[in-house]
Amino acid sequence: MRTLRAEWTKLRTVRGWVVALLAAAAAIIGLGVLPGMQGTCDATCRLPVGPDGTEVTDVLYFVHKPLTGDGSLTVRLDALTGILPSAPDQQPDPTGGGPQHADGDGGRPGLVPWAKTGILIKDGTRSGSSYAALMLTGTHGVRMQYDFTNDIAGPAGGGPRWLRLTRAGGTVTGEVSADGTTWTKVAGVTPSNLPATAEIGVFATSPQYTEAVAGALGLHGASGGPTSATGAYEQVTLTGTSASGWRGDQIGGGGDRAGTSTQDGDRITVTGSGDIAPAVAGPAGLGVTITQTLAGTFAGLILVVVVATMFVTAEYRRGIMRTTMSAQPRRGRILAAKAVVIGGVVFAVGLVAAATVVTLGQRMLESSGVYVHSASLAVRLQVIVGTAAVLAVAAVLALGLGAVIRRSAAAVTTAIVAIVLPYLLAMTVLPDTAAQWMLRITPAAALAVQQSTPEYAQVSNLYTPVGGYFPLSPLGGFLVLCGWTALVLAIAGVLLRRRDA
Amino acid sequence: MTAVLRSEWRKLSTSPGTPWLLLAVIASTTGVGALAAATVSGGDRVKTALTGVQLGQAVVVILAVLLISGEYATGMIRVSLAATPRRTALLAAKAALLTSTVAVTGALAIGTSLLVAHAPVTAAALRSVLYLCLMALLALGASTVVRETGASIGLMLGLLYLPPLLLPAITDPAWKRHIQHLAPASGGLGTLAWWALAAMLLGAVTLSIRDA
Repeated sequence: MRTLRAEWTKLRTVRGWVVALLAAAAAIIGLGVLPGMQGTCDATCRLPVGPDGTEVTDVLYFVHKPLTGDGSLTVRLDALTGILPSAPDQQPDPTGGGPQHADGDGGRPGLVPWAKTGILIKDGTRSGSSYAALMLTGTHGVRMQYDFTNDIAGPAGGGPRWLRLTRAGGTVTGEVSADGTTWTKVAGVTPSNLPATAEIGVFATSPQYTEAVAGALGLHGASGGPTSATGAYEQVTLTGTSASGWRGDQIGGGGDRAGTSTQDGDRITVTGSGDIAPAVAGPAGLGVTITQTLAGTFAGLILVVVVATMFVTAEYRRGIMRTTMSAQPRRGRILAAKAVVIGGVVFAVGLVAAATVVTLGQRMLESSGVYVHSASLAVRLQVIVGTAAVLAVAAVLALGLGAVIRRSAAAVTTAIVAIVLPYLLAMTVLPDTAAQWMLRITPAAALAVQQSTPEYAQVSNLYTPVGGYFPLSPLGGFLVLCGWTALVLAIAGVLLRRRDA
Repeated sequence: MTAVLRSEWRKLSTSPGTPWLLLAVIASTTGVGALAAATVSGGDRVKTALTGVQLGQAVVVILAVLLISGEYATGMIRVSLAATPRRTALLAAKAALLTSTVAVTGALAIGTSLLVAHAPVTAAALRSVLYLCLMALLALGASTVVRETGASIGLMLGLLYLPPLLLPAITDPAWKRHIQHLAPASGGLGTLAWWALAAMLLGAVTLSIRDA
């Protein structure tokens, strides 16, 4: 306890260190609030929300009929075709960011991987309403999806095929067939909120085409444009109680890219653009996440690392270490006390800074018209407490390195290079696989605590660290940093006992 | 001036850390370069082979910072200044020695990197050597102002690595361009030369007017 108080006194009485720690907090807050991002979203600009509260994209063309009670729709899917942007813009954005739209008319034939067409049963035509759908996709085969976040893979294979969607009570079953006689069940699912009379029919939609481009400095930008998908159906057969006549509707947005449909007896052709999936932030999506506000973390981290390293190397340089060790001969306790003091102080500073910048930064982004994805309280806490914990553990890691190396120069460099450089290289020069490994095994993995939106396999996006997506889970990434720190502390403990001061 | 140069050379060449740091410059530059060349296929081979400069520059910064802050840490600076009352001459000697050492080591490191990656020697190699020399001068100047080893290293590594990390957070293209053009690591040799000159001038002024 006395050792603890001694270390606390040392930390708070060195003016430079106190200033540096306050500067770390100021850097985290300042850099999060400063960058003047401008957007065009006002208060009315909100994404639709799915049945479970997730923000979703629900833009598609739907040819539908009301179906009361149980029933089933069987169709023969003749062809799934699509149109990609005419020429992917070869000129990378000189600023290295932002999607570019190649809005050429015409375009070239082709499908994006998650172009979708199939049968849909939906709680009305309101964006974000509950649904279940059986569909053929561009390159991901047959899928059964419901309520935006759920995705079940069907049997592999392509070509003309039969699809059937059957409603029995609250359960919706999807089946596929190659010939219309032998049927294979894909899945039976229970959408959260299907009313007695639901809309059933065929739909088509196709998400934006996105491809990464290497911008200046090696930073990745994105280029892309809208695409469309067309499904041609024959022998559309609906059983059950329904009205007569199919009705085509554009669901959600659309604007000048609204879909179309044609009908001829039991043939229906439907063309649509958009997506029916969870909404993501990033090049292929809309807006940013609260992770955006924490851009200053690295600036704070560098300051914290410098202070934590000098917390021990300065003692060696000035010879105070000898006094410290005479006062507390059990050297392990000195290291422990230093770790507790620097870790605790940095955690407190980091917590205040992160909480301020996430709250304030989000408000500032929104007031300047940038759409910020909503985050639940749990995610918010994970990001804020996680950032503070990463700073604290990184400080302890730097402290351990300081105790092992005993020289400020080498210790500070090692600590910064170990945490910052892997992230920087992963973001800039390294190819994808190497970058993912960098963020799995180095201390930089801990930045995963700042991921605030999940990655969806069924949505194409550039899931890069720059966009706030990490290869490890928040806890997993944090544990990697803890592992490194424990290792360094153990080495420091052994060396401290063995070596003369 | 010859005497100052000789005494500085004696200090640099006999300090036990120097050979290790120079070795580290070559090893880190070549190592990272070889790793990048092995994993990245296609693209600009020379550029890939020179990825190691990203890490090598950090070691160059340590070398440059220690050259002056090490003297402040041990109190050696007072002896040095007593022996060389013309303080700018002392700094100039340090700068000259540092530049030539980094030039030779950097050329070795970059030459080996290109050799390992089977990349041709182009003007980019020469520019990279020059880049390392200017970075060393910037670090020396900054460290003369800051005097504290840890703080100098933190400042320098912040200057090196922070701008590219902050860039993605900034969406205003004008600001992005400004930061890219004004940052020492990404603004090109001309910008870096101005940074180095400014740091050295500031270092010379503070060294002359402050007590050691």
